[in-house]
Amino acid sequence: MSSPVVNSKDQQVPNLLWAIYACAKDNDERAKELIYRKMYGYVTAVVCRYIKNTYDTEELVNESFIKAFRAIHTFNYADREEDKIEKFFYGWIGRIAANLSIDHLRSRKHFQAQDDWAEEELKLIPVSPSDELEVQDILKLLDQLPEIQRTIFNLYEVEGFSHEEISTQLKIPESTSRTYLTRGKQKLRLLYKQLMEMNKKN
Amino acid sequence: MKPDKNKDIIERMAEVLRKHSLPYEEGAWERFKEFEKTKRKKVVLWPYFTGAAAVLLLAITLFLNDKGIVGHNEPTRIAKVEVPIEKESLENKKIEKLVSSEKSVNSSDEIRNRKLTANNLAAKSNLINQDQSNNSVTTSEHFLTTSRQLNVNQASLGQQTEIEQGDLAAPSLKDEPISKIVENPLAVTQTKKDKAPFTDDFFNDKAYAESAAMDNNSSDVLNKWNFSIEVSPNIKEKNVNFGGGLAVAYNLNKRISISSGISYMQLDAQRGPNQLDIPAEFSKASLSSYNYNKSLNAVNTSLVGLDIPVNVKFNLNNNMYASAGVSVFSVLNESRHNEFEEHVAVLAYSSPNSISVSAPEPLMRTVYTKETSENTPYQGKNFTGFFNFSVGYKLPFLQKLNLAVEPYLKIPVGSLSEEDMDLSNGGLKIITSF
Repeated sequence: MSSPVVNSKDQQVPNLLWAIYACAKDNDERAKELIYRKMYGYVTAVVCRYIKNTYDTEELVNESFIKAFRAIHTFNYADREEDKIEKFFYGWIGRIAANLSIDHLRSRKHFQAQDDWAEEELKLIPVSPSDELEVQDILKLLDQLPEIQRTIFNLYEVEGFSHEEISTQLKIPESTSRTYLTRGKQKLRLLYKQLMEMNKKN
Repeated sequence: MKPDKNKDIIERMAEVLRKHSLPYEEGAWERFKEFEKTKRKKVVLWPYFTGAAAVLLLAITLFLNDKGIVGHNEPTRIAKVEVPIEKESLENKKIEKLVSSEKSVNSSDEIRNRKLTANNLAAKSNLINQDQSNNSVTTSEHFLTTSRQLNVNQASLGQQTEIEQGDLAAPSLKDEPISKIVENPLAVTQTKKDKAPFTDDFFNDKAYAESAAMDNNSSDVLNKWNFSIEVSPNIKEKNVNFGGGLAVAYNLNKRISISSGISYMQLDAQRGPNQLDIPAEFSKASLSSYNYNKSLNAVNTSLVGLDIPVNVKFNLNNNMYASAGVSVFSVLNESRHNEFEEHVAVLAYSSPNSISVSAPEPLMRTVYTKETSENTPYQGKNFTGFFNFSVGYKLPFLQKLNLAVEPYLKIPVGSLSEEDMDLSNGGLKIITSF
């Protein structure tokens, strides 16, 4: 995670709070740039969890910022602690990026209802031997899941969507969303177990 | 692997992913600015204006064409006039047959009879003239000539028969079509005066029919087009704004018509704190980093613009109709202001009498302020506009005024729906057509 740009309000220099306010009130270009530079890496990471195409990723990241800047007035906060505001702002903009990514997938008809997933299709990939899970290792594991399961896992476990929201977004029944999530998590565990065993043998 | 441990793996995975962020890529902001410009360019709605202009052009062309059709229709109507003349020709043939059958008659009685026959023929021709208002002068005159010749040339039946045959064949309608006569009013008058004074009625009838046909056609053209003036106040968040304009409709048939026009529109909109996607603890906001006691409560905007609709209207019955379509909305002027809520510390005394006794105490007071914003994102822009839906009712008791009332609903669509304000609105149109 990149180092935060937000400065304390006592320093009287532009920070995230100022940027959100200035962007909502006056559509300030300097504020937009600050927000963009600060959130770029995070938003890109969110989009990359759903979209694999580099060109589409960049376009969706930019679309996410355009939408966020247009709707930034809807981001209100009462908590005066900057750290918490920043955390919620990350969550807020992350949901925008996730929603746009899902819309993009749906428009390209990437989603397939079937999630047939034979055991033999599992590819054994090396995972770092340490207990610390590396991001790239997790992403490689996630890539082994059927797209619908990976998407629901990301939406529910990472972005914090509810099953009701996922069902609306993906146009599937809530029960289906729950089923896919359970299957996805089981397969992730299985993959992880197999990889750990392989690492031990090596 | 134990279930608890498995659960931990999933949670750890989610946690790592939530914190994951990629490094900033140099030049990304500059590329974003370019991307934003491209997006803004896409918002420019020249294709919609072109479409609206094309519809108007088509409407004007159809209107002018319809006017032109009056002239082009004349030959068609004359062709209709010629139909009974063909019938007349059939009658002529019958007469010709009758005359021919008399060739072999030589006695004076037979000649007398033939005179009678000829008179009968003349009478018959008169009857035909009277019965069929579209008869030709030439034909009537021809019968007269036939009758006269029968009287004059009683002695020589053969010769007369030749004359008759020649006369019957010579002034045929093919040589001088009646259409030519009708096309030239002077010729008609001349023919009427010189040749067939007794056919005045016929010409009067014909002129009347012609004039009626012209009138009908003109009224057909006018019936296809409806022009109207409308007053359309709209209601948005308890505010009532004035609107109104001109509209023109082209009736495709009795049921369906296409309408367009231009109307002036005022529209107010307010944006309050939106609770969607916001955690409950954020419900009371403070947006200022410099003054934490001041919060932005609402943003109000007032738009003035031109609305250019293209609607399809369905007549449900004689008095009711439903209409649906889209419109382009061009914002001419926007004024925007922000409403703030501010908590200000003031000095207060416990009671008026205790001023001199006790020290004043600080008290928080809420002050509401309104500031004009320089940010006017709508001004000068053209938007895809609205989906228009309406149901109209023609007031039957005011038929002379052609008044109709039409409740309507306008829902923002396309780029307009993506803006920060909800501009959906509705109201009641009052329309008078002429």
